[in-house]
Amino acid sequence: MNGRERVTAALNFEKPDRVPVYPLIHFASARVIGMKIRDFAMNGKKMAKALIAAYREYGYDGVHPGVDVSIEGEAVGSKLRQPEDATAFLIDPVLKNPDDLDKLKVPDPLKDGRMPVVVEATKICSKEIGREAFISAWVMGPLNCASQIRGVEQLMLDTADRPEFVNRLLRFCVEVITEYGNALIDSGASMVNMGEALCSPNFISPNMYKKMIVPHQKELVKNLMKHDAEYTLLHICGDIHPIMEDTIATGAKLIDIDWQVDIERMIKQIDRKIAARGNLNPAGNLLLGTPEDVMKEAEKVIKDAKGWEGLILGSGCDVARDTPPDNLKALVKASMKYS
Amino acid sequence: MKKMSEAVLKGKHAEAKSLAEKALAQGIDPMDAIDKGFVLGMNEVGDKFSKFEYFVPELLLSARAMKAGLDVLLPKVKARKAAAARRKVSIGTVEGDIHDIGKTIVKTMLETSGLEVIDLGVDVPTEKFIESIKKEKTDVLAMSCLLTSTMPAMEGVIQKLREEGLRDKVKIIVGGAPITEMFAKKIGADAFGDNAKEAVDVVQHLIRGS
Repeated sequence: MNGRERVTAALNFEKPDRVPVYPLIHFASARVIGMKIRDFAMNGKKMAKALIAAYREYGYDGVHPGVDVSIEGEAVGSKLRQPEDATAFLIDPVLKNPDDLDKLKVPDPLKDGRMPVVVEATKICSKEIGREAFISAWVMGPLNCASQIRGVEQLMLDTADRPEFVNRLLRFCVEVITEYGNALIDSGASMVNMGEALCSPNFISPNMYKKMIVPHQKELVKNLMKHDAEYTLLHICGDIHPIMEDTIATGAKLIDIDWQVDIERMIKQIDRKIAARGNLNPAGNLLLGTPEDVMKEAEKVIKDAKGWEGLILGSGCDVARDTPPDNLKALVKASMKYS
Repeated sequence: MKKMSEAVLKGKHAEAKSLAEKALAQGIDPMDAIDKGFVLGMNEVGDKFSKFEYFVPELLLSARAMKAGLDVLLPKVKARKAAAARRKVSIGTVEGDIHDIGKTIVKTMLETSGLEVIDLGVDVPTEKFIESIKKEKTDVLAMSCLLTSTMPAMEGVIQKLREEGLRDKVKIIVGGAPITEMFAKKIGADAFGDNAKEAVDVVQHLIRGS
């Protein structure tokens, strides 16, 4: 099996030849060819070049174009700061007055902000390695997108001060992300990955997630699948046991699981309704330990799954820029040894 | 007092403000109103947060209510002799990182635990941390980050403190989502806080030990 076949098998609960390896690595790919993150983040050809180089170097099963959490926010009009060798961050959200929501426009993924960068990178990756590697591309989920338009802290206060406005903003975000996601699908992405870190029970209550956010995520997944996405992934960091069943309700076919998740307990909760990718600690052994430490941690993940066919070995969350190359190679070694 | 505590607990900032004004009008000592009213509410909020009963939105609402009350009362607190005796904490999110909600929560809880907190903000360069420690003679340095890519900046600050011969003049605590005990030890920090409540307990412990 090649990487593409392996990941596809796991997503369909058809036993792959071994556990697929698909770490959450994008900007950390730049390191392989000595590229700075700013160049990776601002140029589609460079982004693709780094992603493909890392894929060949480390031997895992898929790539995913994307880089930070602010692409949609930036395209809508928020201001970011892009450091030379770190991910860009929000410094000035565009929506200061809630009454101005109707003035915001849905960006054109082929023209606005850095959407065209990721679209181009997806196109190139799909063309060059799409037959052998699984290609998925990143978007933000509705809540994360809203936070990059309104500001995180202000949005959190808004959920109590003006919930109707938050609902309308989330609806606008679904429109924005649908356009963007569709362009990524058209460029060859088999799966659209929705980053929704703010949905973590470490951040908002499971009740708020279920009532306020899930309906919009459901709508987004529906739109993307209608545009012939093969799969969608939902990425929520932290201990997501309290919202596990709700993630299934969104219609996503794969969830990212962070290191805090207990695999045996998870499988009891989800059975075969959704596949799962994880769940090493990207800031633990992967970043600070030895390859042997990584293999031990990966072994535990694989053993805990007891042959559950929906497991994809992953890094839990973003692979850090300074992760030692041998530690990433150890993931593949672990899959070969312990599957 | 109970109403003030409740206003913070329920995140009602307009009510907190009006209760603070009423307290002053009734001649209640502002420090009493703070300590026996608002602070008790904030302590309960911190407790609920650590038990996953309150989440970030609730915390921010409570912090906003607390601030509304303090904005009215603090200017009226006269003999702040306590201030001179209060130990100081410099807190900030490291360079390249703008995440501050966790830091805001820790800062609020440190303040209500009786410490003076100098908030350096976010994206704080090494020199700014060092300057604050020198200028304010802070007892504790607290550094926060959310991104794995900005974790190395913490080590950079500790390194610089060593180079300037200041390392043993200050206790250092680090925290943030990617931070682990392992990492804190590796970079030579004195302590690590896994969550806001723990951070406050640890900082108080560090201060008592010094």
